[in-house]
Amino acid sequence: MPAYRFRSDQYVSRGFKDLAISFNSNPSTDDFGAVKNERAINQSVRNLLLTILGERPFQPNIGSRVKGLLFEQWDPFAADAIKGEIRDCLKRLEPRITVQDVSVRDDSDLNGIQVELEYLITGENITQEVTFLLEKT
Amino acid sequence: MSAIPSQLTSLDFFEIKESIKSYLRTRNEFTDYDFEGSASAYLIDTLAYNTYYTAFNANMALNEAFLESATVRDNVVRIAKQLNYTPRSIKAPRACVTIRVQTQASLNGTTFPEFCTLAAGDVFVARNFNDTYTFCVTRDLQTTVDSATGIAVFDPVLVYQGNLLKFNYTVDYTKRQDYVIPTENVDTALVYVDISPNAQSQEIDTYNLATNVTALNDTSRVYYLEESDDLRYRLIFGDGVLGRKLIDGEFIRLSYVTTFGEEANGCKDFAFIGTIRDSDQRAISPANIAVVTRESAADGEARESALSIKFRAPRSFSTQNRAVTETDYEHIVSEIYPQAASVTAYGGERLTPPIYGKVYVAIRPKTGNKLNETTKARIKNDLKPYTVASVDPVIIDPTTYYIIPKSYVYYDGNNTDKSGAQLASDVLRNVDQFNKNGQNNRFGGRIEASKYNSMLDNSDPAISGSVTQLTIGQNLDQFTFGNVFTQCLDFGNSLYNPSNFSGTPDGGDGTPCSTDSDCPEGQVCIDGTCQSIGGGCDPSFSVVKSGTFYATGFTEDLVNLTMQGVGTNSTAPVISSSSITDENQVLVPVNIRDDGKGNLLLVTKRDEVEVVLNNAVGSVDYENGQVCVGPIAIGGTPDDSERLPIQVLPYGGAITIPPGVDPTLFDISVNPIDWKTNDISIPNFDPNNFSGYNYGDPTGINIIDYPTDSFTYPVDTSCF
Repeated sequence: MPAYRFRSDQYVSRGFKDLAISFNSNPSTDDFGAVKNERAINQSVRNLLLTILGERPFQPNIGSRVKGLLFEQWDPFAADAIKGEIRDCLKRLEPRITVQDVSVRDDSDLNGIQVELEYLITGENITQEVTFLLEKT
Repeated sequence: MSAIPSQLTSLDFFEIKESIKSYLRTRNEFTDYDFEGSASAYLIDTLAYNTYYTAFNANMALNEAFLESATVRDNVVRIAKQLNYTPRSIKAPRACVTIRVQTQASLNGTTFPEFCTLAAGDVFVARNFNDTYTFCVTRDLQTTVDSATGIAVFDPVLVYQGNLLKFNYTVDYTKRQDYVIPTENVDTALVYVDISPNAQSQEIDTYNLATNVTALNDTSRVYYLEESDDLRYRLIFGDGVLGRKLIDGEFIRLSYVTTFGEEANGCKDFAFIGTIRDSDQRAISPANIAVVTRESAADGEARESALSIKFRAPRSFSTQNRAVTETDYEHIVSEIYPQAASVTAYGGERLTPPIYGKVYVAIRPKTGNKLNETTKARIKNDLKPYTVASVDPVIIDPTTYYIIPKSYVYYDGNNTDKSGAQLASDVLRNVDQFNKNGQNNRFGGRIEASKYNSMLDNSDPAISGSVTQLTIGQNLDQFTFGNVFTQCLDFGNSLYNPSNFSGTPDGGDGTPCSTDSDCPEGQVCIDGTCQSIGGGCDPSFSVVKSGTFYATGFTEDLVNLTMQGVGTNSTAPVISSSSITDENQVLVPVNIRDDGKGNLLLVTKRDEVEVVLNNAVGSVDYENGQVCVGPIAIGGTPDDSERLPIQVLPYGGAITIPPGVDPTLFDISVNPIDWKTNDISIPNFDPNNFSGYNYGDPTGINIIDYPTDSFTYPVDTSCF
C-alpha cells in the first residue's frame, strides 16, 4: 500500500518521508538524514520557493520567480509581487497544503526578506506557521 | 526481489525519471518523490538527467560511427577513408595568360640573353566582382628569347588563384611522423612533393599522387593522400612494397596552393607582381612586361561537403576500378589513355542487331582523327585487367556528327547599344561554351532545337527570340582517289522526305497539246489536251548534299555532251566516259544531291545552270537516315583530303545522338535581325541550305549552297 495518494484522489495525508536537503548523515546510523511529515512539507515549500524557473532539467514550470523579485526595489508593490508569487507557486506545486496567509518584511540588516507563511496541511486541520529568510545571495 | 530501473537507455528524460520513481515505489525508505518540491524529487531529476545525458552521448557517438548517420565532417571523412575515398578538396580557379617580355641586350652589349625565367610563386593580382585576389604559378617557367628582337613570350601561362606556400619535413625513424599539410583550403591537385637525400642536397625526386596500387612496386615514387582532422590533408608514403619507402634523413619539400576557391572565379585583367629574370640573372623591369589575358579565371570549386561525401563514397567504392558499366569504361579508358579527347562506350546489345559480349569504346584522340591499330591494341590490352571476364572490349573510331546550326536571332535594336555583329559575337561565345560542356556525354544524347534556342535567347537581354535550322554533316572517308567505292552513312535520325511536301498536280487544264512536253509538270497529253496523270509532283528540294569533288570520268567533254541533251535530268543510264573521244579530259567539279525520291544525283554547274551527270550514284533512306553513296570513284577533292562532306536535313526539331557517336557543333552561323527595322520571318525549315535551286528547270539559276571543305573536328584552342 503506497504511502501517498495522487492529487486526483481526496487528499488524505498518511505521513511523508523525504531526504534532508542538508544531506548530513545521521550521527547514530551514518545514513542519510531524513525529514518527516510537516517538516518534510516545510522543506518542500522552501525548496520550491528557492528554485528558479527553468532550473530543473526539462521542467521549466517548476520553481518560482521569488529569487528574481528579491532584487527589485523594495516597495509595497514588490512585497505584493513576492506574496502573489509565493501563493501562486505553492498552489501549483505543493498540493499537500493550502496557503492561508503570507506576509513579507524587508530585513535589510540580513540582506534578505523575512517571510511568514501560514498554511493548512490537507487532511490535518492544523495551521502551520513557518518563518524563513529569503536571502539575496 | 525489487525491480530495478529499466529505462536507462531511453532518450526521453521523463521515461527515465518515471522508471526511477517506479523503482522507489517498490521500496519504503522514502515516500515524497512524487511531490516536485521534495529533496528526493530533486535528486531523481539529477539522476535522470545524468542517465539521459549518458544515453544521448552514447547514441550520438554511435551515430557518428556510421556513414549514414554521421554528421561531423571529420567523422564522415574518417569513415569514407575506410572506403578508400578521398574527399574532393577546394579547387583553385585557373586562368590563362600570355606574357611578353622585352629583354635588354646582354652584358656583352651585342646579343640578347638566351632565355627568361618566370619564378614560381605569386605572380598576378586580379579583380572580380567580389574582391582582389592573388594568382600564382606553381613551377618555374622558362622560355627562349628571340635573338633578333629580344622578345620572350610565355604562352600559355596557367595561373592558379591562391598563394604558393612551402613546407618541409625531415624523415626521422625515431619518431612516429605525420606528414600533414599544415594549412586549410589547399587544392590537392596543386600539391608538389619533392624529396632529396638531405636538406642540403640539390638532387630532387618528384613524387606523384598514387591513384591505383595495382601498378606500383617498391621503387615507385608515389605518395598517398587522405584528409585528416580539421580539413588538413595528410601525405602517406610507400611501405617498400606499394611505393618506395622513405629513408631516414631524407628531406621532403612540399609546395602547395591555398585558395579562395569558387569566390575568385571570374577574375580578369591580371596585373603582374612576380619576377622574371633573364639568363644573366637580371630582373626584367615591369615596364617591359606585357600581359594579355587569354582566359579569365574559372573552374574554382568549394571543397566537397559532408553530404556529398556521404553520397559519393559508397558509390565510388562500388566501382572499385572495375569496368562494368558504360561509364566505367569511359572513365578507365580516359585514365589509361590520357591523350583521348573524348571517350564514348556502349554495349553491343544496344546495336541493331545486338552483338552480345562486346563493349565498343570509341576514342577520339586529342591530335589526329583516328587511332592507329597498334594504339588500339595497346588500349585493349590495358583494359583487359579491368574488364569482367567474357566481355570483350572493342576499340573503334568514333563516328562524328557535325551539327551545323544556322541561327537567326531577333533583337530589339532600341534595347541595346551593341551592333548586330557585337551581339552575334556574344551569342557565338555562348554557343562555344555550350559546345565545350560535357565532353564525354555531349548534349545528353540529344540536341533539342528549343534548348539551343533558349541558350541563344539568354545570351543578351535585347534578344527577343530566335530561329535555328539544324543540319547534320558527316564525312565519306572510306575511299581512295581513283578507286570505285560504296559507303553508307548512318545519320541516326529520320530526314525530311521531299516527296511528302511536293503536293499533287492539278487535274489537267485542258490546254491543247501535241506531245507530253507541251503540258505542265505532272500532266500528259491525251487526245490533244493536257490531263493529270495522278500521283505526286516532282519534289522541289533536296535533303542530302555533298561537298564539291572531282569524280573520275566526269570531264568537261562529258558535260558538253550532256548539255547537248543526251542525259540532262533523264532516267537514262550513266553516260560512260569511254564514249567520249574529245580531247578535253579535265575533270569538272561535281556535287551529289538527292532527287527527293531516294536517289542520289551527280551534278555540276555550267553557266550557273545545273547539269545532272549521273542520276544513280547512290540512294537515300529518308525514314532511317541512311545515305549510301556509290558506286563511284572520286578523283580528287579541293583540299586533297580523302574525305568528302555529306550534309543532310533531319526531320523535326531535335537530333538524337545514337550510341558511340561523338557530336560537335560545327560551322555555327548567327544572323542577328533587328526586328524594329527589319521584321522578316524566317522559317525553321532550311530554305537557304536545301532549296531554291532549279530542280528540273535547266534555264533557272542554281543557288544551292553546297558545303565546300570536309568537316574537321574543331580544334580546342583553350589553354586548359
